[in-house]
Amino acid sequence: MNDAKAILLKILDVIGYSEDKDKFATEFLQNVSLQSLLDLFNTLPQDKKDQLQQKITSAGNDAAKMQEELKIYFTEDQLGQAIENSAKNAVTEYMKTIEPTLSDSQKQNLANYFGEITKTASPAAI
Amino acid sequence: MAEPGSQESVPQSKAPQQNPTEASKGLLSRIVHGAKETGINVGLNMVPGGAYASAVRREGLKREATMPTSELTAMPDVQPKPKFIPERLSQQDPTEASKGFLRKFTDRLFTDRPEAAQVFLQSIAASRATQLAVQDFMQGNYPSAVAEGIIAGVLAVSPIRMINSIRRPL
Repeated sequence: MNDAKAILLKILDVIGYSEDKDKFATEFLQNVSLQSLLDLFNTLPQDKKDQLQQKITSAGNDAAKMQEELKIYFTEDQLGQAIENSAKNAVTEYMKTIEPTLSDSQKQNLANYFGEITKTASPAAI
Repeated sequence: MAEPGSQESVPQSKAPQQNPTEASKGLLSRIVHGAKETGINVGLNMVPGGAYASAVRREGLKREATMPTSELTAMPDVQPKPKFIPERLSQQDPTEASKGFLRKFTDRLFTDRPEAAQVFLQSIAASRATQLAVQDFMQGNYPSAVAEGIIAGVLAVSPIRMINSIRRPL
């Protein structure tokens, strides 16, 4: 399973999240994206930071142009790693936050679900 | 029979006349005795700095409920410490805890950062279209990375630990 949003939606379902699950998952993933970009940004020297900022804002809503600009500064590996780390840290913190609020059956259901997704995940994820 | 308006017709209080010091001693004594009977440890925060108050808090009403005169002060205008912690109580269910987490996540992204990073993020956030482009780029180009990160995050919490935290019947 490589659909991040689907995983998040399922988690929200199991824990009984009662409000707009799609909205939550979207915002969560958006923050993960921004966090990963910020982490990458912070690795740059100041002059490159200024350049990157100008280029990102001039790319506007053009994702393809944004991709081109970002790849000038970062490799594919760096980009992939940054988003993976950001997602991992965010989910870890999120699970630790909600765990105390879960009932025993919710914990059991989550544990069962985690068991399923780790079985189907690629070895690199474990 | 006393005539109306005479001194004898005025009802006399049964309690003896008291000055503030005696009234305070009596009140504190009644509070501590009452607490002792109900098993409550009285936090005598309203008598700050007193050795008696410290002893009561520490030993739990083992001492007699008498107040040395030297310990007494005029009752200060002390605000009791609130025990209710609204934020913690509001996070008692998974929905509220989740929302609280997301709020903090978002706040942390945009605050408490070096200025350059803040300016950078704000320039992205200023345009909804730019924000979406960033998201589309990162998630669209690296969907496996996002999913693997989420799974790794889940494993870091450890399903085993979660199962172990489930209460077992005795």
